[in-house]
Amino acid sequence: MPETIKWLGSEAPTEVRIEGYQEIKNVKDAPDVEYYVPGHRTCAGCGPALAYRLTALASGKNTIFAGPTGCMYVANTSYLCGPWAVPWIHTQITNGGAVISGIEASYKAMIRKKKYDGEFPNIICFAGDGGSADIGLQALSGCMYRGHDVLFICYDNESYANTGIQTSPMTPYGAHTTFTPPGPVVPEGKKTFPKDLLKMVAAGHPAVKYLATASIAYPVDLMNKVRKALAHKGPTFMHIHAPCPKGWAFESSKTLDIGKLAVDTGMWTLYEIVNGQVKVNYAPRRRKPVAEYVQAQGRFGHLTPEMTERLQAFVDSKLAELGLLVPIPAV
Amino acid sequence: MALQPNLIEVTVWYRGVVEGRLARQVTNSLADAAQTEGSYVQAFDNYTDLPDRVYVPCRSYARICPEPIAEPYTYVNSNPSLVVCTDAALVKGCNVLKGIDPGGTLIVNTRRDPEFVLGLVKDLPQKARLKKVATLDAGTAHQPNTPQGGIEGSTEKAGTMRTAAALLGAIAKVTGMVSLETLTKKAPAAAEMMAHGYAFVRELANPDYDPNDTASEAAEFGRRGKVDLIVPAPLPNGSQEGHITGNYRLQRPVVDQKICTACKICWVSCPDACITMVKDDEAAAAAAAAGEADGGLDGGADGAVPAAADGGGSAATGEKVKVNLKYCKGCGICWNVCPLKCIKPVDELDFAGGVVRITYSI
Ligand SMILES: Cc1ncc(C[n+]2csc(CCOP(=O)(O)OP(=O)(O)O)c2C)c(N)n1
Ligand code: SF4
Ligand SMILES: [Mg+2]
Repeated sequence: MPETIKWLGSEAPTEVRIEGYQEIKNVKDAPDVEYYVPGHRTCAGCGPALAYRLTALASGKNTIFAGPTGCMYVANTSYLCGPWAVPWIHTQITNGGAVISGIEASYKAMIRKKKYDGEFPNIICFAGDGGSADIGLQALSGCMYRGHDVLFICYDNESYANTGIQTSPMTPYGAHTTFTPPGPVVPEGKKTFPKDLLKMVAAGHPAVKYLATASIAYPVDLMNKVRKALAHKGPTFMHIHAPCPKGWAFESSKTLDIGKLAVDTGMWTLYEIVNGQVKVNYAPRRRKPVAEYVQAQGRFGHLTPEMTERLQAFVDSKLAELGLLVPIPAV
Repeated sequence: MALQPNLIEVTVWYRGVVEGRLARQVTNSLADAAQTEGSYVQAFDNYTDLPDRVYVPCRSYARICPEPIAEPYTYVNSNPSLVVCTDAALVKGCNVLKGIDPGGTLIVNTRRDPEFVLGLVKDLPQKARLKKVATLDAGTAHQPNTPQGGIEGSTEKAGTMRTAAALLGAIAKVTGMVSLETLTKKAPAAAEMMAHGYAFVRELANPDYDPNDTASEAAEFGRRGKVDLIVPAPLPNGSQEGHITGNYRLQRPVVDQKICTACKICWVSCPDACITMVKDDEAAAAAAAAGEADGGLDGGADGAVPAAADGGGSAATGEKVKVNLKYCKGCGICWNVCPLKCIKPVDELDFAGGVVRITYSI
């Protein structure tokens, strides 16, 4: 467990409770009314679609989704229809944050003017990594900064997937994408390391009191985090790791395996930041080497051992930052 | 009929992402060879099928014509005289004969025989225009672990193509639209596979072919042009009727209800919400509904499906888990995550029914 998280200036982690959230104890205890129903053109085995479904299960009936352009807009709404049993609105890829700000502000205005006396809705922007960490960043930042009572979720499939898998700032080092094909000049494919989106939102937006990472491979944890975020009044942010069989080149049945492997290797970490304090939710007792994660996906098929080592070093330093110095047993 | 009588349209149906390169290799090579033989050609993708998604039925096209092509370029082949399918489950899930020219041919990559494929199209009115069916076991075409970055528009490498080469050989043999010699000259490294396809393709004349058929064409084109622009939003726990996804499926999850402990792991892991848990109080209702809960669009005529597999649930029969076969894409997450391994993938073609016949309206 981490001791001091320097970049946040926080002291030892404490259990910070969010009042009024209904905890899901285990899979059997999970809500079973589907608001993201069958009938969408996402890939067989699509990680982001599972993230959507789990979010909708957790948030329930009184929810409004905003969907910036990306797979979770285009694939879901092909053929002039959509799979949501709650209100949903398409936003431009750039302005998801602005649209949910507007929805929230208009509900507040309607309540003030006594034109609405229902329950305040859960307002969720479900944006891709492009729509949050890159092209949608300014709207996300504005929304989080102004303090709207909304939840912004980045489902991270680590690329601009909808347009045919182009690199995004969340694409890991060494990944093959349309814009980072490995070749004689740039043998590793993607040369740079990804942004740290959660850190960016946490460090730069004082109004945000609840942030969490999650993974589709840990569905109960994911649903609880959605509920916590929604129970909190004010802007909240979640970053969900969502493996993408098309973009990452793995077999469609392996989506959860890849998600789990990411956590087991430290490529992804499950943690929350509540009132500025970091709580790591799950730390594997023994870490697996990053090489295992790399070998399971076609997008890393060209990596040499030296390149995998660079990725390993990056992961080690990220984990050290979180105080997670879990050893990798020698093979 | 195409507007230009001498125009040959070729449509290749394939599974999104995993067979995209293969399909484009077939259409591109075919057009390339025909051009070498002096024809005017085009090769292109169906616009509305892109971006393709894993296992989604998609189409790639070629056009071959002795004179300059005047047919408008609308991103679709409306009247193919040759239809190629990269797997046989596509024939079960889609109306691949839609718009087929009188006297048309269907070639399917499958280890099953042409009689079997003919059985899959028996419910289609277009069957009367189909002259010939051919099958070839050209090998598995799936390439899940190949990086798909830049898949849009890309093809296999001519030198290493295998399945595509065998299919090209079969096309040369069955239709004669290009010669094996030209194909081989274009890709010498694939000559062996082309020759294999040429030699081993199995052909069958369709006994229901009617050269004078006009009824099926009239029935098909008479109803053209109506697209419902408003599809109602689904209800909670419902489904989106506007896009039925059961035809993505190559393999069907079959649950061994005796082993299943109703742990709900498969339920929580399904991206398509296609698994429901059978509640005890549902038992009576489910037993009554078992007939219509077949999951296919053919309304429960699925005689060959074992009770446990057909999606009709009943606690009375010990059933704990229901699979929504109308929408299940066959991604395999459920049979992969099941801690007891009590969900098994079974080839979709092993089930006589469960035909989810989806015709694209746009
Ligand atoms: C301003 C603008 N630029 C480019 C596009 C084209 N575009 C559509 S979807 C998409 C990819 C979005 O990526 P991401 O937000 O990560 O979602 P994903 O598709 O990966 O789910 C792009 C670039 C657009 N719609 N709008
Ligand atoms: S490309 Fe990736 S994110 Fe898009 S539908 Fe397919 S699996 Fe889902
Ligand atoms: Mg993305």
